[in-house]
Amino acid sequence: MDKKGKHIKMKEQADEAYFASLTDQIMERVELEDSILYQNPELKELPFKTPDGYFESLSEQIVLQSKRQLIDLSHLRQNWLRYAAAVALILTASLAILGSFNQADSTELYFSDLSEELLLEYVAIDESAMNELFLDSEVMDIVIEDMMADVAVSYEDLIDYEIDELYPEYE
Amino acid sequence: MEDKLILEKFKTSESKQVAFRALVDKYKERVYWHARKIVVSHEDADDVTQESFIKVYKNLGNFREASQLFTWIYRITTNEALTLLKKRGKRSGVALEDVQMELEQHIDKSPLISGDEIQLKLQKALLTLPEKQRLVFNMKYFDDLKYDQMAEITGTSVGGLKASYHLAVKKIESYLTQT
Repeated sequence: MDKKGKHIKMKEQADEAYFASLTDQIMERVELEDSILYQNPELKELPFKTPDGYFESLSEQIVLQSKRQLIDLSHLRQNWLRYAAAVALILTASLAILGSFNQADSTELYFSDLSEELLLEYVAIDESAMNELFLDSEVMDIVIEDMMADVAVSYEDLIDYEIDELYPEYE
Repeated sequence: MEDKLILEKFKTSESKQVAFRALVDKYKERVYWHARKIVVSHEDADDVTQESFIKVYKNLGNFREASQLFTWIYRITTNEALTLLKKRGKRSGVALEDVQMELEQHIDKSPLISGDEIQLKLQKALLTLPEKQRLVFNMKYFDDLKYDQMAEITGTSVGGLKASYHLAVKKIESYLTQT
């Protein structure tokens, strides 16, 4: 069979497949048209309302939020090393303290067991950084949110996201 | 502004905010109403809308297929709305069915929901459907989306969506005529 013949054959097959399902599709549509849902056009109107002027101010709110996210993230990036260093130091100090308690009962021994270098580092912690780290709950929220975002669904990969995973009860 | 232009402008820092604002202006109502149909209450729909756009903002720089922008935004919104309902169930320690009962009560009580008796009845009928059927019904019946668009949004085959929609219509008809 030449190229033209093949092309005609493929077209015939495609037409056959199309017309085979066309009747079913039309019957389905007719059935839907008879449905109460399509015979009552008012059903297509939603009964939901929004507060007056809601959509007028919505864009502004969203754009403001997006700008705030930018500021928060740059603030977080600038301070990230500082926070990480403070957390690492606290962890080191905590482990050292726990270790000293395991070795002896008295507080005198506990202090003497800590290295001079560690004690000096502990005392030298920037107080403002500590306050910022623990008292600024908003910053901590951002840190946590950012960490959560790293493990959450990546929206750039959403095209591969299977909604069935959320809703296995699909019928 | 065309989606393609929005994506191009979003890539340069000088026009990023202008592009994002154009995108919000273009899609905000569709996103809100899509969310509202899932979560029912205005306050939740507002949260979902804002969260969805923030997610869009964070990830738009990596998005390239302008032809799919609308379905991508719909997909994010769907996910945000369904997650909100699931979180609510977990937080209050109730099953998803109980959350649906709460939503049904909200339909009766909210000052931001008012319509014909049959419109309210349809919304209550929708709450009896499994979430996926409800989602498919909303997108097809109210939003007139095409099946291939819905397939992109839900990651489900066109055949599966047609079956879901057909089942949803049958159940709703039965609810509307019997109760």
